[in-house]
Amino acid sequence: MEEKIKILERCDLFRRLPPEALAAAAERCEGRAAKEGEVILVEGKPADAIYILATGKVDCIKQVEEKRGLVVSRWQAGAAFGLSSVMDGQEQYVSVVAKTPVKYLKLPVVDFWAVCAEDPHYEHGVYRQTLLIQSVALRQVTVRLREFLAKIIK
Amino acid sequence: MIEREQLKKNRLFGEFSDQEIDMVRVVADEGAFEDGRLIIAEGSPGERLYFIASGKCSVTAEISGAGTEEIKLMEAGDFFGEMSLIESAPVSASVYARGPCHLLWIDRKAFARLIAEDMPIANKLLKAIILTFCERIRDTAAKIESYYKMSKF
Repeated sequence: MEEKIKILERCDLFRRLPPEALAAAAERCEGRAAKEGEVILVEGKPADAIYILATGKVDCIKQVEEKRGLVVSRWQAGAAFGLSSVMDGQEQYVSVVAKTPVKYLKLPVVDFWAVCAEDPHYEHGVYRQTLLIQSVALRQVTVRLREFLAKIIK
Repeated sequence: MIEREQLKKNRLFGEFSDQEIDMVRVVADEGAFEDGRLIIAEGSPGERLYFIASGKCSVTAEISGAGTEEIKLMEAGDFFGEMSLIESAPVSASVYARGPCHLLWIDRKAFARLIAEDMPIANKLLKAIILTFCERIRDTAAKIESYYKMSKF
């Protein structure tokens, strides 16, 4: 339990939450591991949980052809992913694949919202951090988009 | 003061009660922009969250080796400028008036005050921005796929 709390404390998404909220979230998290190359989240399917990366790196890969994907962003320990899908209830826009062996926590969607619902301040803290995380994600995909646009124009 | 209905039309305030809208009206400002007028310059510190009340705005970016390109066209109900207010980072794209347009805006201090002072308003506002971000990220990722295919021809 303590280890889970420490992982959550290091996670961007939960940084603004007080100790009691972290403990409530930690209680609901499952610890998982994935090998290099293992797919953790699949593009086109809704995320079933918020994933919190404890160690290692993951790539966010957008499928562009039947057997070809492009890395649009890379996350490391402390990152949370599956966030956009959990927030709007739609499918994942990228697959998330372990770049290295990884350890992560999985907080099911229902439990994530249950923690947020316990106190409007928790919800507020999560929303503020979500915006920062999404802002970075949007900048990363925009950079990739500009690269392709430059290629086309040239 | 800005009309309540003008704010209600914006996607950010869809879930707001009349009372909450009135709190926004107190801090919001408005103005008209003629065709081609620069509203936000890429690389500058963003100081306002803008809402398009009427007309259209063009989002442009500097593309390496190609100059300035339009990457998105926004219309009434859309908003922009929020990323810089949230991240305190420079603006990532320029925005110009495409034809005459009428904009509403909230400046950085007022935005921070709104979010800090009233939790229900703050949470509704943040959630609405989050949902728009989700949509923008999905749109951009989808464009990567089409641009990738085009770049192969």
